[in-house]
Amino acid sequence: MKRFTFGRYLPMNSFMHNLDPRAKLIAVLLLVVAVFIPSSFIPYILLAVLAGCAIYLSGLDLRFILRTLRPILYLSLFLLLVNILSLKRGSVIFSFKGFEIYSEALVFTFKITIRLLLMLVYTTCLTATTKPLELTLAIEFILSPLSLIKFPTQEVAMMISIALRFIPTLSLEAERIVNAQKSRGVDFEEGHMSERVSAMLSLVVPLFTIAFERAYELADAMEARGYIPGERRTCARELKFKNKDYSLLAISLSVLVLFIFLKLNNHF
Amino acid sequence: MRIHFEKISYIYDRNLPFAHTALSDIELDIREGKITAIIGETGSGKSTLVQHLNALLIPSSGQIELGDHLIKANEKNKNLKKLRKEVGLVFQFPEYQLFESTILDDVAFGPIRFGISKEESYERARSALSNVGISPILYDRNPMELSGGQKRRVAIAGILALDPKILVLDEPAAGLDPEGAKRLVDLIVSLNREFNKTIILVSHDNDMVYSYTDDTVFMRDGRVIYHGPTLDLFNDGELIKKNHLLLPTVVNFKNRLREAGFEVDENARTIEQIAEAVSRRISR
Repeated sequence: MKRFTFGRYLPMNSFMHNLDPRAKLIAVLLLVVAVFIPSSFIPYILLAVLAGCAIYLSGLDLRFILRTLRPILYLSLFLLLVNILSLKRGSVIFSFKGFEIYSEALVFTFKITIRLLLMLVYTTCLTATTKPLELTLAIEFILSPLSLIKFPTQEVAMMISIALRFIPTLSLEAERIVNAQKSRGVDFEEGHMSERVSAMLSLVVPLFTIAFERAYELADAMEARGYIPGERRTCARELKFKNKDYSLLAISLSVLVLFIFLKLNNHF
Repeated sequence: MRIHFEKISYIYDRNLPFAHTALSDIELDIREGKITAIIGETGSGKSTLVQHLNALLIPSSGQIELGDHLIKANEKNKNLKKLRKEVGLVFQFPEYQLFESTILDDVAFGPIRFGISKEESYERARSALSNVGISPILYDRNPMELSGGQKRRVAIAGILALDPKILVLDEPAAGLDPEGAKRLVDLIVSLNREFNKTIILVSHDNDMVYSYTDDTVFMRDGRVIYHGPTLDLFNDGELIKKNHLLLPTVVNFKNRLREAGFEVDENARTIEQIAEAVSRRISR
């Protein structure tokens, strides 16, 4: 089974790894919003430079990033096809027996591709340098204002962190079951419809059994350690903003503010 | 069926920053018709090695000869299904592979997948179940209703029903109660003796390995550091000391008897055999 690279945490020790998860999450949210503001090309150079810095500071292998970005290219090709067929604006740049390609179709696809790529690079720099548990702490922090309206932020954060924690465990189990069933002659790649359905069943049924068993065990273990939903919980490791976290926030916030300002003044 | 590993290496996540070499330069010839144990600490590469035996993993370099099949690195290998029918692999905690609604259906599932007719598949399922000691009253029950030991027997029957020439078991007795474990070991031995199956089993239980296996492959850090008769491995004091190998109870017992002046047969493998020797000596 192929392993995903998207959203995977890479245990290393880089500048980005040591930033406060809350600062990283907020910065990514701000920058992702910023990505969707400009309509001309020049601002994207600034965003791309920021993305390059982020990759550099995360100490990530460029091959790793490229592999994560590959699916976007397929998506763009598909988008290009749809746009060529449907977008009929701008000047004609290619024409063959009444079939015409308009410049706007290319420009539009290019823009969307760049936006998606930037978004993915930012989020990958976040997920690759932030442990899932730290990420939930950050989510809890961002959601915390909602607790004023009795929204159970801590419980939601706990649920998210458990879900994240179990993704690798369950995917490992799934891999094991796939191997076991392959040994019994199940073919997950070929075969006609009914064979495929039974192949899927042979994976899904055991996986659900395991997931439920795990859930019961985990519930018991949590209760045995005194977890009570709704009770206030304290944190073993208090997160603290440092200067570098403030600078990250300042940079991303100023990019966003700058973009909004220029947009309102019709400079883009 | 010949099993021959030639310069096998395997690397997990080969192109990622956390690439990890699990096997390096394995040369191995496993004897036909024997019971071979694979031992070694957690993470020494036992399970990785075992998954090469039916081509679930394809080596990163080197080649494996398995009967008529030749599995080479970096090559699209065909006919894996035929190979998987000849080499039956029972995973750790195989009870998790059960998914059909009745025990009989689940055991017959494998043979049907391999293209054997329905009637014959069910015929094979019945005989496999009776071989592992599951009584016909249980055939129509749901596998989830069984006890842990019974589930494992049913899962093993699911592989036996394929009638493989080689049976590979990864920690077959893990998590079973002593009685269930003993019955399982008896079953494995009888599969070897009566049905002449080549058996390869991964184990942490040196007592079991000593008492019931012919050969042992001892692995450490992805390399084979001993491969030969099981009795010789546990007689090699230096190797045992160097690798902190836990001595089987029987070997400890034999050593104590020797210290007390008893003559003990070098080849005695089980407590029963030693007890017999001792009682003979006393009655003399």
